[in-house]
Amino acid sequence: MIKAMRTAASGMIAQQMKVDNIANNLANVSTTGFKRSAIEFQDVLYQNVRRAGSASAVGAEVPTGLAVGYGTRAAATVRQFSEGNLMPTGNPLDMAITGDGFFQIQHPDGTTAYTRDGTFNISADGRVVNSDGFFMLPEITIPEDATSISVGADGVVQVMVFGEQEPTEVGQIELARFINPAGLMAVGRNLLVPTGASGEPITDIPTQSGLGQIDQGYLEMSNVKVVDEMVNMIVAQRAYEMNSKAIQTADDMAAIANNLKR
Amino acid sequence: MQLVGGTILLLAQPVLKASAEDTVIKGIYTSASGMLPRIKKQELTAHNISNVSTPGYKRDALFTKELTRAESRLAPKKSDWEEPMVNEDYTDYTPGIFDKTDNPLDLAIDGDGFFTLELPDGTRAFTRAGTFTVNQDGFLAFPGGPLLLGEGGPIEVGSGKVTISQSGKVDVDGFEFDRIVPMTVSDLTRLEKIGNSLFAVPEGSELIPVTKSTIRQGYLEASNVDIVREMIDMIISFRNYEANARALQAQDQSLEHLFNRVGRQG
Repeated sequence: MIKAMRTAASGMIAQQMKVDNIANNLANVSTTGFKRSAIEFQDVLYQNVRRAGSASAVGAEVPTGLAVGYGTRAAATVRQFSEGNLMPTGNPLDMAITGDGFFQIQHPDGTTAYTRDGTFNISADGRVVNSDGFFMLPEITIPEDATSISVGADGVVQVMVFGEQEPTEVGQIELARFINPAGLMAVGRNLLVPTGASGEPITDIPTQSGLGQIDQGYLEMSNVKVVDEMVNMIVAQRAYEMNSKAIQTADDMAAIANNLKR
Repeated sequence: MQLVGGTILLLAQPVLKASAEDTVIKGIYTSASGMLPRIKKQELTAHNISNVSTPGYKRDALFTKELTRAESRLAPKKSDWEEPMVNEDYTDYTPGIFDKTDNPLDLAIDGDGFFTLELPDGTRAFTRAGTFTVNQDGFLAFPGGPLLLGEGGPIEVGSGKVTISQSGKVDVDGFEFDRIVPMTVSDLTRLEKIGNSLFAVPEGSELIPVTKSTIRQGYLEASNVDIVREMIDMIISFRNYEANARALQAQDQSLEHLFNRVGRQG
């Protein structure tokens, strides 16, 4: 009886985590470059009350046995890297990646972080930074007297300098990709860091090694689909309710057992 | 012998033999043994309900068999009230519906058969939960580490773009690498659920390829738990439990009447 309660409680906890995760997805429905995540569940260890093949009371072999499981648990959070829609902004340093690559960002702690959020600006000293002021890697400096910036699909950054006829190349954007992007860890601020599961970054120039190309003047929108999330939320809420009913029933059964002795 | 208070305990340790003189009490045992399977049933239902969102989960069902008197006579050195009900559970392998996830490494089998995995200890396990990832060595893996097996063993896809056709052909960047063939065993009742959405394949069993089944990339098979059915099961087992408890109490009342009222003068 107590077991049925714990089993159903594991179901409630699981559904609660699912709703937490859906809430995070929904909260990021307008976050540039955000990738929705999903929680995957697995069933938990089984207790063999009677093994298949053991002898029954009457000496016959039990054909199927009796194994009762202990509920469910969250197995993994999987980030889904399907591409979001591209939104034109007209801002020369807004970039979107069509393909599997990530921008490389110099995190203030010295490590390299990765992002799909291509909202870049120019810092006071002319370097290309993201909206938090973290440098893009490799570092690119835009000259003070530049009148226009153009970024090619292959990541070559050129500027027109006042008084000159030909554009000047000032840098080359490099992108990174991972064997298993679903294994990247989100650290907030739209940044992802590699883990043992994601594998080491493979860096190259855009359009090479399956990294995809850069679209200047566009931003990649969040890939959260509100309708999907809403449907998932309704399902999770009902499943939560079902599990609570199972706990209630187990409790009622325990009450009956207690009331056997008057 | 105690009348009621210890009945369930006695059932839990079924060593006493019901003899001719305690036939009055036998009815209490019968009612109590009608209650016990419903507890197990409730545990199974709770497990099914808690796994309503587990991809590839197959519901557990219980059937309770009443032993006939003839069968219980066959039991040597066993009392005839022991296990009047025999519980057996079986797994219902009905396919679940397909959920579109758009994750290229989510796979579902349309038809019979299972994905074959190699566990870290070298043994084989089956799963219907196609929630695969690429591990850091570039192999297709199941959450927790087991490797997905294709026709040529573990499938190494490296960092390429993986496309899996309906026939299970694994293409990486357009080149054919391997093939995923759903496998099964001749007797599904011999598969044992071991948690983590895995079914242990009994040692020495022959794996039979299921060529009729197709693989669907970007889909997951949902749990086959039907919540309406589980709710009904829960209500039925609860009411059965209640009815047996009532019957037990009624017999207790008759006994009380017998001992305290019958034969009393005036």
